[in-house]
Amino acid sequence: MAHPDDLPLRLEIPLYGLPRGTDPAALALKAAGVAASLEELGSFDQREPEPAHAFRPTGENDR
Amino acid sequence: MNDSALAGRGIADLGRLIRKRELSPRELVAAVFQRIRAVDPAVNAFIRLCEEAAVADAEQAEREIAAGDWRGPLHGVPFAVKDIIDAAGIPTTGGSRVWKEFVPGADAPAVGGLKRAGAVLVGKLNLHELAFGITSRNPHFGPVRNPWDLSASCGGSSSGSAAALAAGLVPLTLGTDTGGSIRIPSALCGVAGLKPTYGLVSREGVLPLAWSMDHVGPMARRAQDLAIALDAMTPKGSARAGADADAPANSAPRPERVFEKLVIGIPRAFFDEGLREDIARCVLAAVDHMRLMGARVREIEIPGFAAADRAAFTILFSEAAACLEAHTRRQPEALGAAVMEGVRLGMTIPATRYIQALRVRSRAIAAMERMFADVDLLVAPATMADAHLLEAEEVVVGGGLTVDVRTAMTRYTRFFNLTGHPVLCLPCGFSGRGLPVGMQLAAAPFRERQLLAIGSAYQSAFPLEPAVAGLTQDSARHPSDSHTGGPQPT
Repeated sequence: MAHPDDLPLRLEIPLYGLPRGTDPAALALKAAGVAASLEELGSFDQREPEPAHAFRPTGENDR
Repeated sequence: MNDSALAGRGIADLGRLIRKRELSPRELVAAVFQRIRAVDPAVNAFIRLCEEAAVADAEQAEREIAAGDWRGPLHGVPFAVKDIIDAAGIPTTGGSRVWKEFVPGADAPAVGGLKRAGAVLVGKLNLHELAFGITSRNPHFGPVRNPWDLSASCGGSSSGSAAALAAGLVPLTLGTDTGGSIRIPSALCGVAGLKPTYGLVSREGVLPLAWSMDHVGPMARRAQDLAIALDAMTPKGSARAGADADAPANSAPRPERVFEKLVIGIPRAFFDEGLREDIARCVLAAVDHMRLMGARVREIEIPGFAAADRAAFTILFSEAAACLEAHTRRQPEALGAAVMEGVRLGMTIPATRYIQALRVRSRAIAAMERMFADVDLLVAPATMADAHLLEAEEVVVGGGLTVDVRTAMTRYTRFFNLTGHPVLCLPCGFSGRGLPVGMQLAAAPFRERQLLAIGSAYQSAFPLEPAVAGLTQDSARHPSDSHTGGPQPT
C-alpha cells in the first residue's frame, strides 16, 4: 500500500504459507491491485474507533 | 517529616498518618515536590509536573479531613500517571511529538476513580514512545534512568511509573501493559505492578496500542497498596470487581491463612535455558518461602507455549501497526525510529496470520482454564535477565546466549497479554549484580483480590530491604545528565 503522497514501494517479503505452485509474477500483479484497493479502507487516527464493538453495561462508570 | 523520611512509605501507612492527622496532605505534597526536584533531574521519571493543582487539591483534602469527611486511605495521597493516560486539562503526549498538542477534556476512568477517592495527581510520567517498546529510551523526552543504577535501563514501556516508585518520589503510579509494560519495569526497578484481567480496568481515555492486548493497572511498592488503588479504579458494586469478594481487599492478611491451602504451579516453559541462573534462584527461593508457609507446589506444562508467544507478537504488532499507521503516514518525521520500525514490521504480517494467531489465543486461554482447575497460582520469572545498560541492544541471558533486549524482557510476559489473565509482578530478591529481580504471580481471571492478598502476605512475611533505591540529591547526580526533555510545569 502506498500513500498517495508517497513514492510507490516494491518490497520482496517472504510470505509464509502460500499454496505450492504459486506463480510469483502473476501473484505480484494481482497483489498490487489488492493493495491499491486497500487504500479505500482509509487510515484512522489513533484515538478513533476500536476494531471491535463493545457493549458497556449501564452505569459502569457510576460510583 | 522531611522528603527522605516519607520516600519509602506506602499508601496504607500514609493514609493512616493522614487520618490520625499526624501528617497533613499539604505537608506530604510539599515533601513529594521537594524530593522530585532533588532526585528526578537524574532519573527523568516525569514529563510534566502539576504542582499548582496538586497543592490546591491537597489543601482541599486537608479541609475535608479536618471537617470529618475522610474518604479512605487514598485521601490526600499523591499519585502520578503514565503520560498515555488522560487527566483532564493536562496534555497527554504519549511520550511522542505526534500528540504534543493534545489536551483531554476529561479524566480516564482509572484517573477519575483515584481522584474521587481523594488521591492527588502530581504529574505525568515518561515512557517508551507511544508505549510501543520496552526500552526506557525516549527520543523526545530523554531516557528514564534506573534509580538502582543510573547507567541501567528501567525497562518499559511504563519506565517513569516504575522509576518514580523506586526513587521514592510517589507511593502510587498508573501504567499500561500490552506486552509486559507494567511488569517489566516493575521487575527491573524492584517495585510491585498489577496487570489486571483484560477489561477489568477501563481503557477509556488511554491512548491505544493493541486493542485486544492493552491493560491499565496500578503500580506501587507493595501489593497491599495495589489493592487499595484497584478498589478505587474499578466500579463499585461491579460483579467483575467483586468476583472474588471472599478474599481480603486491602488489609494485610495473615500469611499462614493465605498459603495453607494454596496450590502453586511452576510452568516449565518459563524456566527454559535462556533464564539467567541468578534470576531463577531468586524466583525459586520465593516459591520455597511460600512452600514453607504451607503452599503445595507442583511443576506444570503449558502446551503450545512457543506458538502462543508467536501469536502474542503477531497480534500485538498487527494491531499496533493498524493503530499507529496514520501517524506514520501523516507525520513520520515526528516519530522515533523504534516506533517506525515496529509499524513497518506489523504491516508485513498478512491478515491470515493474524486470524490464525487469534485461534492460537483461543487455544491458549482454554489451556490456561484447564490449568487453573488444578492450581490456584502460577509463579514464574518476569524477565530473563536483570536491568541492562540503557544503550544495550542485546543482552547475555542464561546458558551464555545473547538475545535482543525485546526477547530478554518480553519472553515471559506477553503470553499473559494474549490470554488476558491477571498477573502481579513482585520483587523477589537481587541479582548477582545487586539489581532487583521480579517474579510473576498469575491467577484465574478476576482473581485480583486473591492475587493481591497472596502478594501482600508474601511481602509482610519476607520484606525485601532496601525497598527504595538509596538516591539522594548528591548521589542522584549523573555524569551524563543531558536528556532533551525534563518535567514541564502545568
